[in-house]
Amino acid sequence: MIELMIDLMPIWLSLKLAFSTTLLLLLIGLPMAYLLSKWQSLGKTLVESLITLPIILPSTVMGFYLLLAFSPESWLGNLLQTVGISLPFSFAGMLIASLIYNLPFMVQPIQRGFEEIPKQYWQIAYTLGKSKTETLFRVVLPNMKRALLTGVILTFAHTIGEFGIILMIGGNIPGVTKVASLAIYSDLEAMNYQAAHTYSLILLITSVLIIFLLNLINQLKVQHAVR
Amino acid sequence: MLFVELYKQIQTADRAEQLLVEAHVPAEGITAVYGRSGIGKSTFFNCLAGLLEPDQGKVKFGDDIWYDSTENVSLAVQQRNIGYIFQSNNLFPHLTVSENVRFALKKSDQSTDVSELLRQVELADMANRYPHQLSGGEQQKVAIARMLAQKSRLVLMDEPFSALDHVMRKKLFDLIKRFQQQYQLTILIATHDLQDIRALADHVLWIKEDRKGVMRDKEAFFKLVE
Repeated sequence: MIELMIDLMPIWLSLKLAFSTTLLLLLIGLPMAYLLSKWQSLGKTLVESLITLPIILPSTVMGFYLLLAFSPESWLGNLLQTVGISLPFSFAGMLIASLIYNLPFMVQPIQRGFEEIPKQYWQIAYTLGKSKTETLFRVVLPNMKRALLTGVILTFAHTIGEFGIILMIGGNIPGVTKVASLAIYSDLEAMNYQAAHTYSLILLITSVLIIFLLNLINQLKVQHAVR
Repeated sequence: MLFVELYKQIQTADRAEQLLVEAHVPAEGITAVYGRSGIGKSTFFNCLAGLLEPDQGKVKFGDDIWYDSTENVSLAVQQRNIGYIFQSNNLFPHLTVSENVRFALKKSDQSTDVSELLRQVELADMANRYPHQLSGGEQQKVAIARMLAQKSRLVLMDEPFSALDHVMRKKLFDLIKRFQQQYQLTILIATHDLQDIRALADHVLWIKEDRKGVMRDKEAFFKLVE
């Protein structure tokens, strides 16, 4: 029997981080993906490589460099400190790290979505008198719902499961940066196996649900097939 | 009358070539734009529509100047009100047939009877279907209905029959001829098929191998090509 009496704050923090990351990355990733889909030069390959970096780089490496960048000894950390902002071991710092770390999971599927939209959709909408913005919202985005959903779900799921970079930037402070994945680590170290088990089960169920949802979206009958 | 005099550089696999089209296209009737695939028919259409900027020249439709490189005039594609029908991907997949047609209506002109337009293209009973539920020919008919809803005077059709069978081609030919006369449209159809020209066109704009396009009388054109 699993002990369900656990501190719910880490779950809440995980969800808060996942929702904030997903929402902000959607706003940042959408224009980024659009520009990358239109851009044709060597610079594009460089930017794409930089965006992909978090997928192959150990999260601790990125966490280490971000920690250096946020520290008061760096010019960035120093600048932030003069305006009263300290990012290491704060939720804001953890969020920024999460945004950088999850960038490829949001940008890549949406970029592919833009690239799959036939050029004629844009051209037809223009000849019918619609502006670029109107075409984007009335024609292009509705026809890449699957790409958008894939980006959103992958980002959300990946944020829920983050560990290394969160531990390094957040510091596992209860009530501030101690998210569910860190709570499991802490409870294991303290030999509090029941709590670790409960957190793990919640994350497991959440992950299975998310993967199931993702597969469901991919297998949905392609009603609006993009030919 | 559509007056065209335009130059546009085309990048081929191994070099850059110059497309040059000089033509006075009659205001009424169907003009076939003939030339082999890749010669520059689509580039020419895109320049007319305002989707591409010519390098130099002048485009005038009626009294309206759409493009004039010497006067630095270049009207935006949205302001030219051109009906443009491609070979495929003409309809937006997330909209039903009637929604696709309604998409062309201007904010000031919501009173147009979309059902009547669909009836005219013999698709009244398919208003609520999605494009993927239609055949290729039916999709082209919806694009024609949308062009009518748009109330454009100049219509560009870029190889619109390439993917269609003989029976559907014949039906579309009849529709296009009927609408051209009924709505007094100027229609340009890009094709590399002489049968299409014989069945449909009143005039021919021939883009030859040197990428120079000139108007030809239909009879004179057939004498030259045959």
